[in-house]
Amino acid sequence: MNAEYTLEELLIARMAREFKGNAIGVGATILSDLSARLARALWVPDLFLMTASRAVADPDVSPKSLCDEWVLDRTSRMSLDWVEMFHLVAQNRLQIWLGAVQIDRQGGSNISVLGDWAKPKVQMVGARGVPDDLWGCERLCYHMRRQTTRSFVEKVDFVCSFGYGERREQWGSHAAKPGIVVSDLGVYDFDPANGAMRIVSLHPSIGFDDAQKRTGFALPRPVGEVPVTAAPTGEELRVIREVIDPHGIRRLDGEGGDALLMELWQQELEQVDSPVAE
Amino acid sequence: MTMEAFVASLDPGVRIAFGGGGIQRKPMAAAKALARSGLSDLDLVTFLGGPEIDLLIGLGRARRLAFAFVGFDAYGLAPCFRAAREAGKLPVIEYSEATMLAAFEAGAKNLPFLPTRFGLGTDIVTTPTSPFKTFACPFTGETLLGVSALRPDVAVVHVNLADKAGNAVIYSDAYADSLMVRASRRTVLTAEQVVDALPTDQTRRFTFISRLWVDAVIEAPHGAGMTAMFPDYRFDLPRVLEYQRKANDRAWLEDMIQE
Repeated sequence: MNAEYTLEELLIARMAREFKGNAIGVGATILSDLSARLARALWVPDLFLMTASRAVADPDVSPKSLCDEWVLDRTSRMSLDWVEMFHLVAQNRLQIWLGAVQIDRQGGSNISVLGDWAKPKVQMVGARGVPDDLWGCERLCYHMRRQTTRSFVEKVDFVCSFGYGERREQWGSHAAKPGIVVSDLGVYDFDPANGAMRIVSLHPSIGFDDAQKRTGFALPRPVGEVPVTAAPTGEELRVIREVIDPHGIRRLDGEGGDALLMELWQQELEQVDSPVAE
Repeated sequence: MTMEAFVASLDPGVRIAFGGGGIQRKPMAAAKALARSGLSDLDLVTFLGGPEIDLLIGLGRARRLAFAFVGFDAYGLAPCFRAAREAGKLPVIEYSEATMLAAFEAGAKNLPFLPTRFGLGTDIVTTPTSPFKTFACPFTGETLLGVSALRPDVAVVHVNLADKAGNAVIYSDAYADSLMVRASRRTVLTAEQVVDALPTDQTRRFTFISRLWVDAVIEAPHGAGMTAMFPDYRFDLPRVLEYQRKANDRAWLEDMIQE
């Protein structure tokens, strides 16, 4: 990877390209949350931002923090209750990057359990809003933090959303289609002809074999040169570093770890204690 | 009402629902008091569960759990919920967010069920404890998902301010709490502060709960414990991380509920 930008910055800029205006733009992972803010800051001025807390909805672009409610409260136009939110979901006003634990070859996703539901090998968080976003959103995009043969699988263990294949044939075509999948290795989408995942681009220095080695099913080999994911522009990097994430919270998706988390936490508490410039 | 009197009013096996979400505005003081009482066979309900659900499971107080999510938001999985499920020891009813809202709404309207499209075709519909049934719409013939009503015996919600009659305001995300309260047969609020009169010149965004839905109010300063209570206090990140590391140690958890 080029030293001029990090993988996290590349991913934020790439995910930001998927948002359209006059609708809610949500990212359920740190990087995709930042991508919505980037899109709003640069080219989708009417994107309706919303973070983990619906109590502060439609805020201005602000720096990402660990306790967003405290920061965004100053500029939020409304609080959005969950009943209204699902009215908006039902009417295709939500665009979302989900963070799944498993995604499969035909775009099914899972965040609930690994193994058998009755006695899971790993109990994760439950299906949450994924089975709901499936009915209303036009498409579901996925930010997969680590591409491995365990996260990119032939079939998910528990279907929180279905992609292409039998279930779409049975349940009708107006459920959300699987959209773009972004990982630490590349960008993927689904071939409408057969519903199978395919490579859109791979990140700089990643080759087809690298991606295939970390995929639990056969990826179709692109014809000719594999496209390289476009580098973030200078303007995108400036907004990421100076406007939406000056504290470097995006590093939690990279190096991560409790030590970094505590460092960011201490930094945030110190800012709270210092007087706010009006 | 005191916390002790509230806990003493509950019977073993009670179906009890907790408000808040993840590590936001959880009724931790109430959950800890309940855990100290030793009341068992609890039939737990939560929209987005967090440490309040996790500690009751960890101490073996739960008979069953209905949920759409249990976790610590961006800060990891719920350790005791995870351990109990992976040991095959905790029966659960898994909802999605919108289907649980529909279940509460059906309860609030005193209906047996309400239809949704949300959740159709996914595996939440195929679990052995599924509260869902597909049916043909009587108007269009479209296959819809019927979500059976959820009516907890008691709801516990932590609020910023309440008056003695039970009127209350929440300044942060209210999650499913308004519907959950209206679906429950009884509601007990714990409040950061009980006041003689709620402010009438509200300038903050807020969610209002009417006294008509509320049976008792308990004052519980810092009652959200390690979870966030906007705008009064943030979640206690060091405590949240410590909980995740240690909660599967039964002795540590027994000590933690005494604090």
